[in-house]
Amino acid sequence: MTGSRRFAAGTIALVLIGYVSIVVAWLHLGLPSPDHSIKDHHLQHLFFLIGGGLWGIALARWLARRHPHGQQSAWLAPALLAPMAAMFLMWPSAYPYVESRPFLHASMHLVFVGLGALTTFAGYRYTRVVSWLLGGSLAVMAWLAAFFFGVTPQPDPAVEAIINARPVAPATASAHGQKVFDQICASCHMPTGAGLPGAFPPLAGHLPELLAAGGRDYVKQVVLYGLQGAITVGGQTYNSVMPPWQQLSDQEIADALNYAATAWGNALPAGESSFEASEIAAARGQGLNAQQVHDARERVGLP
Amino acid sequence: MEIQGKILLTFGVLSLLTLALFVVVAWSSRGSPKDYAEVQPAGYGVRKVWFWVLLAAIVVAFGLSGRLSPYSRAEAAPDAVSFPIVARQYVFENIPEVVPYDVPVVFNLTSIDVNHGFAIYDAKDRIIGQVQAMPGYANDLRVTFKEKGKYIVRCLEFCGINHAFMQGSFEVR
Amino acid sequence: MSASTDSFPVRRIMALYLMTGLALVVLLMVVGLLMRMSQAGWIRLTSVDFYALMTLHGAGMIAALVLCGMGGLWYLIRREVAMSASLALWAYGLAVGGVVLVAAAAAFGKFGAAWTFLYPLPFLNPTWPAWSIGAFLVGMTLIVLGWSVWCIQMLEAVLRGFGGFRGVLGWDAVFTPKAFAASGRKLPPPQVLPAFVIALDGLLAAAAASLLGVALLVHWLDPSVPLDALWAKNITYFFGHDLANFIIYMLIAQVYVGLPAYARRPWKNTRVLTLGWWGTLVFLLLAFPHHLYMDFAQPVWIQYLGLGASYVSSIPVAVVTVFGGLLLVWRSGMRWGLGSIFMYAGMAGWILGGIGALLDATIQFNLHLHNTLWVPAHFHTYLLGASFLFAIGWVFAMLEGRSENPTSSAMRWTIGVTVLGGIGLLVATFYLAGAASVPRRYDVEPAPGPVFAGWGSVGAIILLIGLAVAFFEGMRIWRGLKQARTHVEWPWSPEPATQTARSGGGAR
Repeated sequence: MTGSRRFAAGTIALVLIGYVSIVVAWLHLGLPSPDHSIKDHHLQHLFFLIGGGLWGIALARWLARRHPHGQQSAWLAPALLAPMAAMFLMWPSAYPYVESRPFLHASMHLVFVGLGALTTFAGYRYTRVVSWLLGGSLAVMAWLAAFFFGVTPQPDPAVEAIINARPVAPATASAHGQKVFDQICASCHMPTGAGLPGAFPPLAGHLPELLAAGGRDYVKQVVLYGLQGAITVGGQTYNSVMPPWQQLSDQEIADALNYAATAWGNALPAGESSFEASEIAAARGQGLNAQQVHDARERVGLP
Repeated sequence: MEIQGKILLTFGVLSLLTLALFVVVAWSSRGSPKDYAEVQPAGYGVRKVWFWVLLAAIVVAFGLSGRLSPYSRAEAAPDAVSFPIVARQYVFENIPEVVPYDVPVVFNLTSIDVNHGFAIYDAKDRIIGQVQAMPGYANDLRVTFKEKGKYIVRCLEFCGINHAFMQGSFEVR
Repeated sequence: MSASTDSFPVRRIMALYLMTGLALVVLLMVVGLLMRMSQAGWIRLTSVDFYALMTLHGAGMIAALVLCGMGGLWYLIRREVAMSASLALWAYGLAVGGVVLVAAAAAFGKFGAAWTFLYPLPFLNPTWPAWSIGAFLVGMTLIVLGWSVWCIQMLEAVLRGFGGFRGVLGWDAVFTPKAFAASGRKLPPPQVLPAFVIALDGLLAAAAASLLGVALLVHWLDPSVPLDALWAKNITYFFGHDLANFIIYMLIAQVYVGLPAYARRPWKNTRVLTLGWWGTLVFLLLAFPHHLYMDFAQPVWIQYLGLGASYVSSIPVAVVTVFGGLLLVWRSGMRWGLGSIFMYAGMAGWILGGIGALLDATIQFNLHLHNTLWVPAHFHTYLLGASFLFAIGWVFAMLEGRSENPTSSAMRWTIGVTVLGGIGLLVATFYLAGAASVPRRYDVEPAPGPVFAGWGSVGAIILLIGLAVAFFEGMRIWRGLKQARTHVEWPWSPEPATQTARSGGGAR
């Protein structure tokens, strides 16, 4: 009989701890000045999961006692998928939407309780130790998620200081263009514009050639959308990838292009004017990919 | 000899000793076999010694590592010259042109896109120190340059397609 | 503790896992060779192709070797305890499905964020399409699900078969050895320890992996959800380090069973072996911070925890398991078949890789070695130079144990020298290049990288030639088995005599 009594006491304890976990979560939500931050929500959901998980174990124990069963492998599917579903439901950007709809909000909490219960109940149908392991893992996963998953970190003043220490754009357009080129473009095309034979094509000599061939739009597209695919410059084949530089401002791109088009002996071909920020802005909305830019190069008639 | 050479030498010596041991043991199996019960007691005696030797080596190495780590050095020089640097695909922004010679220097690194590395290569193209540049975090690398000349910085955390070409440079004067 | 009378051909399950795993390994070796040849300048892969292949090589090799370990260990435990074959097939199917998705992401989407896919890199590179990110993440999730199923099945089986946690952990033998010996009870066989330790740690690693997988999938679907880069990095290396390390700790079970058959001495579980695995159970999970030494933002105590755990994890390997292997061979009159050569050499590879790893796990040295080719050097030493050798060693042990036609001495030398020599040359170039500060994961390496890449390619080619010869030699032995039809039992067969009768004949 002691075994039976121990079983009853254990089951009641699991139910009670589960109940307390859920009450704790609810009370927390109802505090006078509720902090509805994502982190606090995550933590409440953690408690719902723990409470539900304990109930799941209690229920499975009780059922297994009345209707003994062997290992039921099929239950492993819900046992493994329920924790992942719970993590998905902790989708942080959905919280404001859910919160403004009380019925949905309450249902979601029930779903968390249910998923916690399903994890451990289903695990138990395979074997007892699995229910504890998966339930414990679920709690640890939710705990790890609580502090970081979608939680916007406090801005670190040290990081801000480093970012803000970057020099502001120099006054003249040409100096600015050189600065942008040296920082962004020179790592591949080299500060001399000579490129790296076999890896990165030269701009010295080649950029005026492109412009003279009517490739002004193509040049803007390469910078904005990148380039992928083999090209031939000066008899040499290049097959590296040029990344797109959308994150640069229109002015930065225009200045860098103007610098590259006039430096190292380059000169704008007759009839070509210098690049304007407005035309870069106009070229932005085309939504090309790096392969399509390669097609554009071929349309201009360049190898 | 630079530190990489010493590490390689250590590795080479320990590896050769290990291989020699394996060859000797393999060779021993060619003669007339001995009963396992005969060799076990001596073997377990050797194992006990080996355990204490290895444990002692671990304790010593752990203690030394604590003394020499870059973290403890980071606290040691509060009056260093600092250089804030932003890493992004595929460039180090605001990297200084000139870095002072024989003065504690600190590079404050962060990233505005993905994880990057910041590894300083000396004139012999050996890494003399490195740190990660992470979005949202500031990492400080402290170095005191004992040799003048040009240094190259390479990104050592895979950061995308042109990772291999992400580099910068400065001169120590 | 007795095996069930389930007549399902348990060897077929193992063969399925091992054949898939080893075929993938060889295929991905070719991929690795292509990368090395490109770095050497022999061929020219574009950056996009190089990094897609690198991602495929990394993720695929981990999955392939894990498959080998899963199949081998499943078979060894299944000999002792009844387990459902269909569940093992589910685990296999999920993992292989995941590998297919990962391969599709790399092959058709050119997804190339490396198998570590450190947040936020997968989302911040324009050369691969959005679908490939999702396919890669879902693929990795499927691999983790298959792995979880295997861990659960394995854990349940060893706990059921060997007296629960108390029995598997050898609690009484450790704390009351005299009473335990007097009671006449025995510790479980040694292969139960890796099964238990890996299954338990494996579930924890799987939980971490699925958390990160869901978080990344949510970010993929809704980029407004921010993640913390340091948090993601910690979780990535927690499960990444674990999974990569599980491989060798799983496959050592095959050596526990296979090597004694050649040495004609038993490899028994003892109090010391059990204690060693207690250590492994803990240290496996705690060593991962050594991947984050260069993140100075990480709390310093975590760095020292990683340092201590990395150092101490060498004790169960060097003092217990490999020392035990050496003692087993010492003056044993060992039979040197291909199986024993590979397994024995693999133990040496484990120690060599461990030395390389411990040097790199020393914080002060890591400052100079982190993310150089020293890193691939050490893990190739114990994935290729140990884990893979354990796996093929086991295959040959299975073949040689039942063959009347042993491999000729000349053939043994040919295969041994080409395979081991190829591996040696391949990893040596990584170590030398790492010591020369050549960065890892560079499609175009600064000097002297290309020179080493060339010699590394030569090593890989020698290795592949050796493996081809070994393959045909294995086929020769296997065909001999089929023709003989009779079931020859060598006294040193890795099959326990009672077991072979039950699992029936047949080469597979």
